[in-house]
Amino acid sequence: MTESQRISDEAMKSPLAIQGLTVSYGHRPVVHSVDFITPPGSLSAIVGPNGAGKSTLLKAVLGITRRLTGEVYIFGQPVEAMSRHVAYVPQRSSVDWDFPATVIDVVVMGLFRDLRWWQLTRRHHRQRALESLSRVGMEAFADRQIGQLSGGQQQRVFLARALTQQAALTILDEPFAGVDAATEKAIVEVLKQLKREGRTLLCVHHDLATVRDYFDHVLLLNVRRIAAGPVDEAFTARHLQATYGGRLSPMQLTRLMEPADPANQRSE
Amino acid sequence: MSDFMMFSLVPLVVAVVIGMTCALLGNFLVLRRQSLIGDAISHVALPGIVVSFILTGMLASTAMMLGAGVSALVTVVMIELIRRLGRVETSAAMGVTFTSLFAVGVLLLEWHDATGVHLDVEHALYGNLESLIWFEGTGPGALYDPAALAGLPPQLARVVLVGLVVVAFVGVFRRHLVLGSFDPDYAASVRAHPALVDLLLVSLVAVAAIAAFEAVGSIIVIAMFICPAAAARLMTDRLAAQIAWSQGFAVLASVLGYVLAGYGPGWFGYEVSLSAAGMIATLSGLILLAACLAGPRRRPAAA
Repeated sequence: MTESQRISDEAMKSPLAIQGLTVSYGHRPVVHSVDFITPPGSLSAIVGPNGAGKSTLLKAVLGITRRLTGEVYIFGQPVEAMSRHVAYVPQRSSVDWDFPATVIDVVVMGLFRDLRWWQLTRRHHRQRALESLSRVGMEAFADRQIGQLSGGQQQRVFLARALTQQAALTILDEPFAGVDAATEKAIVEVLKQLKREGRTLLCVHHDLATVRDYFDHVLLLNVRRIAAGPVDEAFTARHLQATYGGRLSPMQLTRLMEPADPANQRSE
Repeated sequence: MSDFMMFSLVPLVVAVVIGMTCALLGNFLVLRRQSLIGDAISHVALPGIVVSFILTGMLASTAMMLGAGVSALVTVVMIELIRRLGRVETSAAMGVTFTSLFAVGVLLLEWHDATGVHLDVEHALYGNLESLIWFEGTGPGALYDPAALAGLPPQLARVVLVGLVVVAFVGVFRRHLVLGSFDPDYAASVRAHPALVDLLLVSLVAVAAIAAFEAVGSIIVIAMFICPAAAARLMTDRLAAQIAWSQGFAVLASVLGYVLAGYGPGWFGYEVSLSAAGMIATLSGLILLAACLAGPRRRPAAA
């Protein structure tokens, strides 16, 4: 119990609390001593330039990449014991879509932890996968070969696979990379819906222009943590300049600082 | 009939079992775009088998399986070391590893050949499928006669045992294998232990290669790891169907190859027979060629 006493009350309740996380490739730290607490029921973004260690941070949290130092807690428990409560949506480009599988095959992979080796995939398993598919509007594609999908459809299939895990925390790596505007909107709707159901979501996000519209919390990362907190407090011109090493133009910054314009949003 | 029982039954069964075993594992190597690892390990099986032979003085299966495990580990570690320290791509590291270790195996073999044991380079390449004679197999009754069955060449039991182990492995770890082949990062996130399963797969490839090695030689092992599975991939977009096709192709190549090598030249009036292992490997290559030319899924689906 001494373990949990060392961490704060806030971290105990958080679906994801990171303390002093460092990851290095060789002798070069890619993520250095990052602290971050995700509030329950939040939709958070990790923002930073290329090579800032955003994906690496996610992979270290998920146990895919080994962390050098630091602790990761899920609801106050070490992540090793709690990984069942975390779902992951990898980058779409990280897999070979020429793999011999159908859409439903991929979504059923989300039930991996519920299926023992002697169990066959039965109708009620397929039914669960189909429900996830219909949440992302892809149920008509269930028997389609995955190689025939467009980029946006592939992304939605990956999201559906994570949905079948029914995890309290879902971690997404660039869910909007290379998808069209309509798909982006559909995915955002699903994420916001999940948030309303009380689930917590954490996305690596690239497009600074949509941070205010989509997210309520943000972590600005460039190897180290630059700032973190509610978007209104942390997503400031000063923090952004620090994150991007002063490479953003004043005009870009002014535009980013304007509050989200509802009319603008609708015209997308 | 008794001729068939005595001279052909065991080689035929051994060829079919080895073909199916290697083709089954080959499916996952092809999906991981790691077919070359089968090639690498089949070559590395030679030094593994020779060293275990030199150490124990006999072709005992336990020592050989140990040799298989050790050689698989040495291969994987060497490939990884060369890739990192030499800063070359994986396929180059594999090529260097298997050619150099195979060469070491050849040298070791020649050196201990002087001591007069029956294991030579020719066997290593072509195997000696035709020498698996069942002297007690004098008629159909022998199949029920315990005394006659005891006289079966030991290679038969060995390859059947390995085949069963491989089938059990693929059966138990089927979801791990598929998930780890398709999406290793996601597999790690749901604790499907892709790295561990990968190592198990490579170890079983080594075990299968060594079990097959002595009986059929390294050429057929390499062909069977790659050709049936690669051809099957061109026939279908479903994994279960792909595995079924690969098994069918393996059986076809083994049976037809054995028959053609033994009797084919006779049909044309030549009083010779060809190497069964060579014919089986050639046929599996031809099957792959046919699938490349006519397989319904030879082009990736349009995005």
